Amino acid sequence: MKDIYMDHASTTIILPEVWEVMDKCGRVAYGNPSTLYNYGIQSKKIVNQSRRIIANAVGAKPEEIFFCSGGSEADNWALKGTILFSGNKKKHIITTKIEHSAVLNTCKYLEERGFNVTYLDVDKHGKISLDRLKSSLREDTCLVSIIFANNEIGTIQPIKEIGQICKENNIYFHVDAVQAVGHVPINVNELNISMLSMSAHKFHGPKGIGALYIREGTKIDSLIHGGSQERGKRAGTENVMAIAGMAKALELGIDNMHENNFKTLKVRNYIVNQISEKIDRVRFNGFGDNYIAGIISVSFEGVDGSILAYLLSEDCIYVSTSSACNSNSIEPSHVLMAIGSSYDIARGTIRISVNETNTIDEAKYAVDNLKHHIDELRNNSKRNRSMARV
Amino acid sequence: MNEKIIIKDYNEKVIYNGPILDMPIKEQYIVKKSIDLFDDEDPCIIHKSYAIKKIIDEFLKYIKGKNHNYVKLSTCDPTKIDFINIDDITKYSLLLIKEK
Repeated sequence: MKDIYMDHASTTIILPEVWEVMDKCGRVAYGNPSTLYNYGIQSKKIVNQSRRIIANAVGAKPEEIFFCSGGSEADNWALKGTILFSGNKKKHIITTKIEHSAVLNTCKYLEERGFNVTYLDVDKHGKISLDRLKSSLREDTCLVSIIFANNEIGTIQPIKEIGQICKENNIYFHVDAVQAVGHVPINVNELNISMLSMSAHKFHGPKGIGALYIREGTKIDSLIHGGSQERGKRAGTENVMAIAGMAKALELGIDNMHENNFKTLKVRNYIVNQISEKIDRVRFNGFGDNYIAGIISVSFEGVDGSILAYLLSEDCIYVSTSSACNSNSIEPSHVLMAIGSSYDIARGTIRISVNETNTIDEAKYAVDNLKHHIDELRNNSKRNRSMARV
Repeated sequence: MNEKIIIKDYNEKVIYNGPILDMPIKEQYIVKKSIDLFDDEDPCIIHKSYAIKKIIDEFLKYIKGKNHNYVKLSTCDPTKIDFINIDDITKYSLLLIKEK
């Protein structure tokens, strides 16, 4: 069996059409976009055309799209940029306990510098309570930052309702949409979003490129100072090839969204049904009324997820665990802990993330191998326990 | 890979009894494996734990190739067991508790 890649929430393969655009761009438009001769002008044109494509994809104006290095930079910029601009007037941020570490660690950084952060609890599906959000708002709340679709369990938050609350209270609303852009329809105006983070490599684009949508009129400091690129808001010579690749990848993602989601859901449902049918003592995480099609977070009682992921990788089936790397220990996922999982459940969890490129044959092979390893690991555990009693 | 092992000396005294993944491994072997895999001599804990899994997996395949669960380490290829962080490892025996 060939390699079976089921870790698309980590990153996706660059599509051939995207490579083609990048290759052409790298060879033809290698000039610095800030220069005023043919090669530079070509580059500038590509950057602006790409900006327009990306803006259209999320219902924004081109001048509201700012290229940066990816999702983490976009998240850092949104949070630090708005709260630092507000000076000492507004010192409060509201976020959730299940954000990506790019948001959580930025919040921690800001807390250490005197800002206040409220971390909203989530229910067992990973959803926030809108009432709790409302009651957390303060006079000095500057920003609400909520992940669109969680990267571990796939839960989609009630973004429109959150956006409405923020609008009514005149508070900036930042959305980390790294897992959602290119996979679900997004219109920043309909959703009342002030800032939106995106990352190309999550939708078949290259790594190291992303963008932050910043609604016109949003008061935000720059994170990176230098030249006047990105209308003076984000310095540094533009990564033209990657920007062109991002635009092409997003264009394809939007054009094929319906068909891709249909294929993805078919594989997802097959995996979920087969695991439920063939393997006992299983728990699926997330699975509320609204979730991203490709992400399956599943916990197996009595099994170490990291061993399981290792054994699957030896079979050329690639999935991930959701553990985080601390300085000297492997921490259970903060997302799983926030939805009420026990340490053992969190430890026994893997994330299978599929997309339109996966097939039912691959899914069947993956589930068969999964079952084989789980049976073996559980039998070993049973044997170990009985030997310990002897 | 969650098998348990018992390492005993000639007097049947238990030197190690626990999960195979937790058995004592010389740090230099972990670093060497990490360099082989990631070209990283100072891996983070997650990469380090992957390197350990690789070392143990290779060892398990070697031991299972012997087709019995009780192995006198003196009969093993020294290069296959040198990673175990127990002095004079060849003096010991190893019992692998696994599925038959």
